[in-house]
Amino acid sequence: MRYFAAAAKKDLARIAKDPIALLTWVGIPIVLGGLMTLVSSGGGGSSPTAQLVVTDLDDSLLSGFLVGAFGQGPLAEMVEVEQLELEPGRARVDAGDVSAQLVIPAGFGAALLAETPTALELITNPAQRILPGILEESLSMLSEAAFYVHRVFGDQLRDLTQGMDAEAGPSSAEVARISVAIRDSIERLQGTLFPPVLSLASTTRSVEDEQDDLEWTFGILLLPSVLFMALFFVAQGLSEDLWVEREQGTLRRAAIAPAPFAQFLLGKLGAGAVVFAGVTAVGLFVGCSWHGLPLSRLPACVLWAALSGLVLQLLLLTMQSLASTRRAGSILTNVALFPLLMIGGGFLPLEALPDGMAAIGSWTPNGWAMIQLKEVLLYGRTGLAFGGAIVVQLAIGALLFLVTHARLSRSFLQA
Amino acid sequence: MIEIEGLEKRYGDLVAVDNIQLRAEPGRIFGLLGPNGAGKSTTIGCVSGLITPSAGRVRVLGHDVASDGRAARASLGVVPQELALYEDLSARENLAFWASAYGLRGPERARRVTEVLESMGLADRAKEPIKKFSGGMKRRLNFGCAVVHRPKVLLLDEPTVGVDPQSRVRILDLVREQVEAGTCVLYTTHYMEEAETLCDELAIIDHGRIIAQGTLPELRGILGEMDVLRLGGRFDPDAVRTALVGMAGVEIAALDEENVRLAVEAASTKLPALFAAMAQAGAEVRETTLTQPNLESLFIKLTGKELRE
Ligand SMILES: Nc1ncnc2c1ncn2[C@@H]1O[C@H](COP(=O)(O)OP(=O)(O)OP(=O)(O)O)[C@@H](O)[C@H]1O
Ligand SMILES: [Mg+2]
Repeated sequence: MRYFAAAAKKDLARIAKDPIALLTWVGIPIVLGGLMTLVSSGGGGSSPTAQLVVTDLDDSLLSGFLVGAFGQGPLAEMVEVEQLELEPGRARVDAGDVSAQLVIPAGFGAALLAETPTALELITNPAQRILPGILEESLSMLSEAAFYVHRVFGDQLRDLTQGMDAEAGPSSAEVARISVAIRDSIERLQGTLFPPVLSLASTTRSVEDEQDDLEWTFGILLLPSVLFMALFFVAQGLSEDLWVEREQGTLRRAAIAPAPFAQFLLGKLGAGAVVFAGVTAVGLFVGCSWHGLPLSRLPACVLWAALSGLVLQLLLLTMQSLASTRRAGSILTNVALFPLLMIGGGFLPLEALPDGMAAIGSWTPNGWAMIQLKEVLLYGRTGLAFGGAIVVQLAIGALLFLVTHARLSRSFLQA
Repeated sequence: MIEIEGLEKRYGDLVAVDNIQLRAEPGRIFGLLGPNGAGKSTTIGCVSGLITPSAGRVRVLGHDVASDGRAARASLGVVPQELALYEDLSARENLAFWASAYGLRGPERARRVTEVLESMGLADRAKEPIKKFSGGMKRRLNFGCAVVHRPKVLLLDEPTVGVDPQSRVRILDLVREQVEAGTCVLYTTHYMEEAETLCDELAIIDHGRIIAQGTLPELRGILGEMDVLRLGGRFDPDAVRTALVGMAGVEIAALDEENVRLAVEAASTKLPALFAAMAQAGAEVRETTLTQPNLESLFIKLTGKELRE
């Protein structure tokens, strides 16, 4: 077991040497969650309307999506969009007629696809304060959405743009396939991100329990979602370490050392456990304090969430070990990650998803784990069922561990 | 001690290692000399347990690698051909981790890590992440990680490839130190100078097969007192063959229209006669190289090609 400790310590040291990665994994969900909370709390009936002038110099599919998004869901109620050329638009802002002018630069869509930096310009009306603020928040949310589309379909998008440079261009079948994939994703984002935010105030679950008369606000329901999104990102980042170890030859050296290889692998989970426990402890402490939930529930919640993180890490490690190349591993885990997050309540609480989707979502590993977390976090239930759930997690984890171990000590090493 | 019997490794139709037989003794360096793709790393992989052989058996200090792997691996130190280090950790952290993988712990481990850092000449940079190291420094650390647990058997797979001359001398000294302490070393290389100066016993390997094996004097014996004479220019192969075929103590190793390679006994005394014969055969000689017998000439004699081709 000393070797296990040394392996865990070694992996923790390596994680600690790259704090930016860890911050990114944890930071994105927090930013996203914060923005959703802001937008949803501002989305009451009496919200004022902002007038926005949009000047689309790019006129591409993506810029069209951006303009269109202001006409969807809750944003449509808060923002009135008018498309104008550059000069007339500017004149309207100067005259104080509108809250702001959004300029989408030429080449915006292409830059987004190529992942080169691009900036949207928002010219705000100095006389107004709150309305331009709403516009700014909405915009940053939309660029987050673009970020996710990119993470899911980044490879296909790049293939497509590279294909365009070639003489023949992409085949029409290719274009069709990618367009459908992109459209689906955009629809999913629009369908789940925006309307539910709006309908949330009316659909929050009524609490008929003997428990306190706390009303579950969107923020409280979102807390586990943000937490699981962070766990997922951390787990994915940690799972990629397998390729790093293979490429730098250390995996082989470990395989020929006399100490059991299983302990080397367990060391990765040990390091993961520390990270997961740290992230969940801080996240839940802040979340519980903020929302006034009893801190006595914290230990059980941290235990559960860290355990769930470990099982996610194992799930993704298994996928990585089944892939033949690093790229294949990355595609495989991304393809699994985003749908699971989407329907498993990782982006939005299950309560805010359409009923059918939520029903399926409750059967995803993360959805199920999140429901168990809420039982403890919101209702303080830590009885027999909670114990049973821990046993289930441990059993799934052990099974995944065996698969990964078998893969790693054979074919994964040889290539 | 390493005992290899009838070792074979196939990748589909390719036979990477073909019926290899060898025995490396404690306190001695056994060299495996061969060109690229000869099967050196594959052999080392079979000894370390990383590669499962298709046939044959390997024993390390009497422990069968297949059936008693843990015990066999415990006494092994391996310097892989490619670096195997944690780039973002320091030299000390790397050494400490691999030491614990071989069962060292506590103050003993700390002491040993410090010792190795000093003998590798890395003590003053022990705390830096090694991605800031030069190639030669990384090679030295790669070596250090393999000896930190004082293995009785050491496998070295081309440890000096891509290393500056200073680091190379240092690594070779370190290998000798290990041997003086009684370690059994299996050393692969494609530098024949290295094999000649370092190894007590040698196997020359080509296409997975051992084509000659023995101590350096024994191998020289196979060659006889043959020097290697290389001639460059323009030749008529048939005429050259006819002119040389009757000469005592001259063997043709390779012959084409631009090159002639001869193994010649006591060449200095035969040169005038040789050149006269060549002139008679209408040869136009532009370049002449005479080499004393060495492993290179043995390799040329056995395979008709040069080691570095
Ligand atoms: N995993 C593998 N799959 C298929 N063929 C392999 C594999 N590993 C090695 N080979 C082949 O086996 C042969 C021997 O390779 P090996 O790496 O043992 O050579 P080597 O003597 O170490 O050469 P070098 O000096 O270049 O390191 C080569 O022809 C190589 O292409
Ligand atoms: Mg090799």
